[in-house]
Formats: sequence, C-alpha cells, structure tokens
Amino acid sequence: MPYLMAGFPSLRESIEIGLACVEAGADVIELGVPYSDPLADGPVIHQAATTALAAGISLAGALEVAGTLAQRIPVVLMCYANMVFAPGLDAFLDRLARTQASGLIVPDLPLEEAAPVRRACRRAGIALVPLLAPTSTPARMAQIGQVAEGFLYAVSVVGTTGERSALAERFEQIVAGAKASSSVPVAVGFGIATPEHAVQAASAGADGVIVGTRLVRAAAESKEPAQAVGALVGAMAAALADGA
Amino acid sequence: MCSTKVKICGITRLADAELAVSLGAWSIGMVFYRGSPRRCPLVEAGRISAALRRRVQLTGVFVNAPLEEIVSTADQLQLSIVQLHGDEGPAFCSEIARRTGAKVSKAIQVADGGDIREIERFHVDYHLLDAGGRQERRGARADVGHGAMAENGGRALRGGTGETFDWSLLESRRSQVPLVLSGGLTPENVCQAIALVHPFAVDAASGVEAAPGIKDPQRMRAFFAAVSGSGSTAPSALGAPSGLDTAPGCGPATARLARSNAPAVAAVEHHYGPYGGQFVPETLMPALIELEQAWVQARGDHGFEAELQQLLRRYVGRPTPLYRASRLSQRLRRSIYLKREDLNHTGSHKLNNALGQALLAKRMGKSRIIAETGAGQHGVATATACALLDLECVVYMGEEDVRRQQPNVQRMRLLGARVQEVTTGARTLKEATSEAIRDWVSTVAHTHYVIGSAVGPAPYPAIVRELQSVIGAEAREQILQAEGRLPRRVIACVGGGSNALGIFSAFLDDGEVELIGVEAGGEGIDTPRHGAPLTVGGRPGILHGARSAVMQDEEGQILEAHSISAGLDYPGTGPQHAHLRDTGRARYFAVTDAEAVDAFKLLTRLEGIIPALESAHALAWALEQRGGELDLICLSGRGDKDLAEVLRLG
Repeated sequence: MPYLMAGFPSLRESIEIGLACVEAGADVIELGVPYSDPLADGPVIHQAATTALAAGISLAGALEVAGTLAQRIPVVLMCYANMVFAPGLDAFLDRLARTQASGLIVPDLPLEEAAPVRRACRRAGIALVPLLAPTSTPARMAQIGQVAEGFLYAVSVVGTTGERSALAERFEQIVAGAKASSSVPVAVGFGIATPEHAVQAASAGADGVIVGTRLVRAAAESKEPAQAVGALVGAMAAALADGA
Repeated sequence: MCSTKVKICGITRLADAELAVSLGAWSIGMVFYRGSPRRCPLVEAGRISAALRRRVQLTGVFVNAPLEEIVSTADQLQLSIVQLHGDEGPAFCSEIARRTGAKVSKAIQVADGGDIREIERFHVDYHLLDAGGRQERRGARADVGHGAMAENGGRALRGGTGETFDWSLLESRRSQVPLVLSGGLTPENVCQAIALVHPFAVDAASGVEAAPGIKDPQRMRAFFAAVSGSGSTAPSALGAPSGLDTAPGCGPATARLARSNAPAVAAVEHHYGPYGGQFVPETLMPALIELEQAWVQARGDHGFEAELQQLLRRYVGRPTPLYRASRLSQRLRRSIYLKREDLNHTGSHKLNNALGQALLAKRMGKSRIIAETGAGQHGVATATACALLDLECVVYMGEEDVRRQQPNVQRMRLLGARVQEVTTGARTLKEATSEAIRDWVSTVAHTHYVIGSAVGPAPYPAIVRELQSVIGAEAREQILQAEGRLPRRVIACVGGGSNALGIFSAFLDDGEVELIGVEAGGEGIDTPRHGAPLTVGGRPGILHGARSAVMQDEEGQILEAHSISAGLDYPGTGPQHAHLRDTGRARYFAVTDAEAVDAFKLLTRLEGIIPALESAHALAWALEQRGGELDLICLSGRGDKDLAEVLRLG
C-alpha cells in the first residue's frame, strides 16, 4: 500500500505517481492531504506537504487526485482532523464520497474523539480506518479493534513517519496484538522502507504493508518521480509475492 | 453582593479538614490554645498543613500566646492567617504580621456597640466578631477562642455559649477591614446572618460538630449548602462537572477506569463547552492517560504539595507582591494594581507551571524533559526547573524567536538545556510546539513534555491552569487586603493564556469583576498579521491537540500569526478561553504592536518597571480605558529579554 502526498511534487505528477503505483502492483493507495501542521509526520512528508501547500494544493486538489486514482484502485485519504472538521463533518465526507474514495485515516483522531467522525463516515459509506500504536494498552487495542472498518492501521514504531531500521520482532508484536483485537485486515506502517522490511512485516502476519516516506523521498529526489516510485513499489510487490 | 466565604474552625483532624476544603472552605482554623477542648495537636496540624495549605487559607488560633511561640508555629505550619483571640493589642498584632508574614485576624467578643468601635483600632487583615461578653473575655480567657468553641467544653465556662450576638450592633460598623462573622453560626441560622450582616466570611465551629473537635459531615454539608443557597456563592465554573462522561463522543473505558481507581479528588476536565479534547496520535494517548492519573494522584499527595509549596516560597519567591502603580494611577485617575509576576525567579509566571510539571515528571520516573518556547520565558523556566531537579532538558524554539530573544537562548544554554532551533513554517511558537509534540511522539516512554501554556490536549490545559492559579489566589487576597474590595476589572495578556487563566481563576465566581483578555493585534486585526483568534472570532479549529479559537483558512489550514511579542505570536489559544468568551464571562480585545511598545515605554518611565512585551499588551488596553475605578493587571513577566527588539524599533 503506497502512500503519496497529493500535489507533490505537483498535482499532475502526484496523479502520475499514483498511476505508476497501480501499474507496479499496488493494492490500495493511501493519499495524504497536505496540511500545515502534520503532527504525526516526520520531516520528509512534512516538507512535501509544505511544498504542495506553497503551490496552492489543499483539500480541493487532493480530492481531485483522489477522484482520478479511485477509478483505478481503492483510495484511502489520510487527512488531519482540523481539515476534516473545518467544512463540517457531513460536508467533508460528502465531498470525499463523491470522489469514490473508500476510506479515511485521521492520524490525530484517537478513540476518544472518533465517535462523531465514525458516525458521519457510516452515513457517507466511507470506512474510518483507526490507528494502533505500540504504546496502546491491550484494553485500548481491543476497543480500537472493535470499531475498525476497512482495515486496522498498525503503527510499527513509537514515533512519526520516517524510514528506520526495522525490527522483525517488533512487527510480530504489533501485528499479533492488532490481529487479536480485530477481525478486519491489518496493515503495518511507519518506518517501512525496503523490500526486506515489507517481507518481514508480511511474514509477521500483516495483511498489508504501508510504505510512505521512502516513496515521498524518491518523488522529491528524482527527475522522473512516477518512474522512481513505480520502480520501488514494483520491487516491494515482487518481494512480497516471492515471500508469500 | 460578592460571595460569602466559609471558615470552618476548631478542626482537629485531617479528615475533617479535607472535607471542609472539598466543600469549598475558604479557610480552616486550628486552635493552639491549651485550654481549649478543640486544641489541635501539632502533629496533626502538620499533616493538615502539608496536605492542604495550597488549597485553603490555614488559620492558627492563639489566645494570649507568647510572640515567639506564635512565630515559630506559624513558620512551622506555614500558616496563612494568625487569629488572635485574646487580649492582644494593636502593636502586638502588627508585630505578628511583621514577624510571620501571615495575615492577621483580630478576634473580639461582642457585647455592645463599644466592642464594634474598639476593634476598629486594629489595622489588621480581618476582624473576627464572635459572641460572648467583654467581662467574660477578660475573666475567663481559658474559654474564649470561639464563642462556640467553649460551649461543650465540660467546664464552668463563661465565655462563648454557642449563641449568637446581636447582629444589629454591626449597623454602626464603618471599618473597611473584611469582616469574619462568628459565634453560634449553624446551618439553620447562617442564611439570616448573611442577609443581615453581609460579612466577608462566616465562621462555624460547634455549629457543624458531632462532638467537640469532631465535625459532623452532614452538618458541614448542610452549612455549605445553606451559605450557597443564600445566593451568595456559586459553584466554580472551572471544574467541568463530571469530566469525561460529559464529553461528546468519548468512549474510553480505560480512562474512566483509571479515574475511578484514583483517589477521590475532583477529576480533570477534558472539555470546556465544545472546546478542548485530545486530538493527538494514538501513540500519545496512553501517555496522556498516565499523565492525568499521575496528576490526580500528586494533587492528593501531601508530600508533592508540600514540596511544590516549599519551592514556590523559598525558591521562586512567592507570594509575589501586588503593587499599586502610583504614578500610573495618578495619570489614569483610577487605581491600577500590578500583580508582579515579573518578580518571580526567572522573571515571569512561567516557573509556577514549569516547576510543578518538572516535579510531576520526576514523580512519574521520566528522566528527560522537552518544552517549546516562544519568548523564551517558558524555556528558561523549564531549563531552570531541570537544572534544579537534575533532569535532561531540550527546548524547541523557532529560529525567528531565537533571533528575537537572544538573552533567553543564552540563559537556557547556561542552564544546561539544549536549544533546538526549528526552521519550518514561520519559525515561531506554533512550529516549535509542533516539533516538541513530534519529539514526544518518538520519546514518550522516558520523556515528559512540559507544555508552557494552557493549551494542548487534555489534561494539559487544566494542569497548567491549576499550577498558575496561585497568581489569582494571591492577587485576590492581596487586593482585598489593600482595598477591602474586589477590583472592577482583571486584565491579562493572552497568547496561549496561562497567566490570564491563572489570575482569572480566582475571580470567576465574582460576577461583578470583569475579566479582560488582551490578545496580540500585531499590525491590526483587519490585516492577516495578528495573533488574535479570540477577538476575531470565526469557526473553531483544532491545533496542537485541542479544539479552540484558531486562525485558519476555509479548508482548515492553520495560518501564521504575527506579533512583536514572541510569547503572543501564536494562532491558537487555550480552550478554556474560547469557552469563557462564548459564555461572556470574559471579554477579549486586541492591541497592536505599536500600542504595546508605547505601553512598554510608558510603564518603564512612570514606574521604573520594564514589562515584558507580552504583559505590555494588557497594560496598553488598560491605558486606553476611561473610567472604572480599580484595575488589577497581571504583569506576567519582565522585559529585559525584549530590550534589543524594542531598541531596534527605535
């Protein structure tokens, strides 16, 4: 499951990157909405958001990307809480539903604050995907797992988004906890940067692997962002197919 | 009519004291007179003091005791009020005030109008009028103390009888000294007493007892209910009634469980009307729950309270003075009082909070502290607390603020803190806060985030307000002492709003006191360059974990604020301020950079006090007002850090 930032490096290129991911064998696309204060993101994704915002891409642009990609692949929008609440919950979800997107991830919306959003998502036919963290207690995991829709996003590290040297045993722990708490599929994300990480996560039992920062960095560094991201996604998809 | 305070006297047990405080007692009295059946053993008094002295005025009652004994007892127990119930004269009372630093309450037993006039010779903090005749007072001092105190003493007592005196005698009273009415008050008669006498406080001892020295919880509750039912007190607007359960859309059974396991201390509120909440990544939620539990436990722990109180007195330098700015008052033709938070150690109110949170972190076993800072005052305060408590300290500060506030950057480094420059966005307080939160997301296991203002996810706004409420508690007492009345207005600058909530908190129930928050108008609120989300209004938003007044665009992108004052250069504000604005309890205004600089210079020249540019905003608003008669302004910090910036502007 590749993550890409809508409007980065540009609106057109972000659509091209998404299409390249589809070609490379992605199953779902997680689409980030540029936000001014992304508390859960590390410097690479933060910088991509800042660049997109500077180019005038905000919610409208992101929904345009979502609408285009959703014709080819399930799209889950990743959007910070203030932007979800700003136009009013129902208005926001109505716009999102019209893009044919499948789901919504709100990284700063813990269980305590999620109920009204979950209800509005149900009305709009959008799956609200909750996050689990390594710091979540078993009791919280159980509660989060119960309300999960679409899939459960298991954060693999205590930290913000970013590439790290992954630890296989950590994957096992978090995936086991997530699986035990819920009947929906479990995707692992944060810190996954290489095909080896992806395979480790899959062999720990994850149903999906989310790769973000590594791809955004490739998009930032390459003159041919779509090609560069497509190649990375292809390598991961191949490694996962082999590993399976 | 302002609220009538309640003093519960003749306390001999911690449990009774705690109940009185939880019911809202203003003061609890402990009798140290050997002849009294309600004498409080010193050991128990020590426990009561350690547990409660930050939350209630502790009164020690003495009857013709030697000066040295009173001084040493007052010092040992850190009494707030010394009540002198014997034949002590005015000079002795003054000497007690001078030697102990405590407030002095002179008690007298009223037989006739002459006694009302006699007490006017005492220029003390309170006059306590008790029942019982003059002859009895002179003849049987063993039994004075409380008219009521003696009634069940089991001896041939001629003193107090538990009966009231003739309240109509008080019609001849002219003194401005706050009056504490005592003598035979009960749940049954206290309403009438308040209606007739309008005292500052009512004092009950035997009227709420099961046996001498042992309070009856039901009688106590009835007494407080009666006082509050007389329409003169209101429940505090501060504590949200039932915390989490009132929260829209909350379902965390774990948080609820945690709370029910905690000691029976009022829960920490998460919401203020529609504002507040916990909009943070899941990774941080367990830490917020842990923090709230630790805070609730610490508040109920005598040792924690005692340590904090001790540090506030002996290290920070509290209480800070309340100063009548005479030349400013003359110029504005009304009395202006400044609450001198600039005289705290490190030069601002920030240390009240930083020290409390650092102590809490230590208690939680966290070895590393992070903080954000704008003007650098909170950074310096946190670095200071960390030096004192031997904690590792990292302070996030925007590059622009590092430039504007060099002296504070140097101070932090000298104190052993690492100053982490933040280069994203406008490189000011908002970005510094975001970076601190990102750090915390990664290091939460061993790190505590000392947030510097009444912002952020619950429980932070409540913790910060409670740690800063000492400002208001002191100021209210001090102004009553100085003027014998409450101020017409309380004025404070608002960025995140911690100094404002700190001083407002003591006056929230005083409906006649106007609460004014002053935001950064920057280059004008008709331009985008300001920091005045409360004044400008608009749709609420979510920033740094809480819903509040926020500067944002139509799609919910947070806008950059602007202010000459780094501490107010922030596009959000504390959630409780948004609620106070909506309910009309507080009003918010903005003053521009230029007006703040003018006020900065004016106060410096008129009073010899260089205020922080933040505090200068509050001053600037006051300078523009005509009329009113008594303003209390929170001078939240000193302005040494701003000299370069002001001089640069010429």
